[in-house]
Amino acid sequence: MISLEGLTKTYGETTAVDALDLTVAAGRVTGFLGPNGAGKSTTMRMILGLDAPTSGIALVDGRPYADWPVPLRKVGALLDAKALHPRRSARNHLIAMARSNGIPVSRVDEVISIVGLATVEKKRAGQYSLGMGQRLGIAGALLGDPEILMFDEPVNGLDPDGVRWVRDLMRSLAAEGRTVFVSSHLMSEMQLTADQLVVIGRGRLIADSPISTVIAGSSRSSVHVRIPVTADRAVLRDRLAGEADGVESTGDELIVTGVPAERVGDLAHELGIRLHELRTKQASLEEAYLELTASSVEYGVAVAS
Amino acid sequence: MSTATITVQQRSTGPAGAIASEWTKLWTVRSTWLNLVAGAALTGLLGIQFGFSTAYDNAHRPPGDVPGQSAVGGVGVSAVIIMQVVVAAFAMLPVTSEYSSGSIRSTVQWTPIRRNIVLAKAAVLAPVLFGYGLLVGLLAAVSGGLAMGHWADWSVDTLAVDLLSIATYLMLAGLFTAGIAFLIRSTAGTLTAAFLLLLMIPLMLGESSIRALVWVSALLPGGAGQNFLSGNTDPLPPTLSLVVLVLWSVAGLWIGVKVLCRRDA
Ligand SMILES: Nc1ncnc2c1ncn2[C@@H]1O[C@H](COP(=O)(O)OP(=O)(O)O)[C@@H](O)[C@H]1O
Ligand SMILES: [Mg+2]
Repeated sequence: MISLEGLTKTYGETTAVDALDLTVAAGRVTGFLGPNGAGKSTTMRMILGLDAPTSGIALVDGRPYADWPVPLRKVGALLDAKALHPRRSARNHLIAMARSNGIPVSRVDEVISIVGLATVEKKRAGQYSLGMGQRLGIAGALLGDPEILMFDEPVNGLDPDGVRWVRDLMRSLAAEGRTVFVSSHLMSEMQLTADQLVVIGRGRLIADSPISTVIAGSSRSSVHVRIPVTADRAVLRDRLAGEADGVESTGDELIVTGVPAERVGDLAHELGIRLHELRTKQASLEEAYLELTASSVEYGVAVAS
Repeated sequence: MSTATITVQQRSTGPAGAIASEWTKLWTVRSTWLNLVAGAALTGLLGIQFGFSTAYDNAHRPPGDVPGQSAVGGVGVSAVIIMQVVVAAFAMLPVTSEYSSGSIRSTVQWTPIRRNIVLAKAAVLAPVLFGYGLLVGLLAAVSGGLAMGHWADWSVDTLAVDLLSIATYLMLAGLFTAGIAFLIRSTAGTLTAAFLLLLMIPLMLGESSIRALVWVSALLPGGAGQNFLSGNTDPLPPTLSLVVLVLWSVAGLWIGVKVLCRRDA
């Protein structure tokens, strides 16, 4: 479990992370979403103690990361795949990492084969492609067989097969009961991977809820009703005005937001109104996300980092 | 899958793990080996050069001035004062290469108790630098001694003392350089600082006729090193020069710990 309390980081004038309160639970994939510059990487760096918070605290299982006697056993992380010596072989990089935490070298061979780098393990890490580098970073994250895993934009540079592989890996890690915290600035990937969605913009928490709630809670999730009789349309529309967030009329169709389809159907039945169609249009997560971050997108683009 | 087929120990490895990791990192980049080869080659050449010039000088003295033999270890001392910059580069690369590649962030992630990072690098460098010192000292002494021919004094006791002094000096100067490398971070910057503090400034000030400048030189790491190696008693006896050196390397490492602990990685 990861818990953040009032976590804040300022760089000069910039507030990268702004009083973030958050709990990331075990046994599921938590997507950490926000436009570029929202503060995702900074948050992850503070969780690992790489950057010191300006105020607030970040704990893993109740303690600061640095207080764990065997830190790689507690948290495995891929933050920056390029944070390695380019002229050291991938295998030696992992061996040095293993030795720092007393992990047997046999585990290095295991993780190398898990990520599929066995044939290129002797190659210098600097010669790796972006995708191979990500795989090496993931091998490092798995090395300590940790209870908590953090990945910062892990699918960057991966081909479609690699993307699918990462998605399956995250899901199975969570299924094993681990805490999986993965960031992305793209919604589409989260939709397939995450159980829980944490959205930030300008360093502030915008949403923290199950992915289904994010979709349903979005005002773009709407009920479409086709009513052939114009008078009936007006009647239902008036009846809904009190409880719906919005009712729009286009052609023979009413678009209702904020009321579930069941309720609209029941009302129509009560009023004896004949329907030709009643359906719920799910907002795509992408749309929900854009809506959630609308206020911070402009800023995010302006500082795109 | 990644399911545990290992039992990773829960007990902290503390500095021992960090030391093992630094040891592995040192020997798994080619620059370490290249530096050793370059340092050895340079010292061998310097030894030959100093040996021949000693022999030449001795053979061309005015009549009546009969020079004695020269200790071969003395060639080692002369050679090391020049080639110490190569050793300084050896000592700083494990630090500056981590800053230039960004791998310092990985290191801090693996060893979040940052004091242990500096201590582990120092613990690995100390014996390696000492051994490096013995090696190059011996190379210079042998190549110089052979070049001197019959002017060479091969007495083992003197040679042993010279080699141990050289090794001690290179170890302390290297630790100092590694410490300030955490402060300066860039390879070029650290090398410049080491070149100035270990070689240039002491060389320029040490011969000064202004007493205060001689003292400044004697209190800088390079000047203290030269006085210690050549057995000078002015302005400080060799033992005190050694103390000055030890203080510089402790101070350098202390600065390294302070800046690493304070800064964001
Ligand atoms: N080391 C730093 N120095 C100054 N500003 C930084 C630093 N790291 C991040 N920032 C700023 O903090 C904000 C958040 O950045 P980041 O955490 O990288 O966002 P994300 O990972 O969500 O794209 C950005 O405005 C970025 O420019
Ligand atoms: Mg980022």
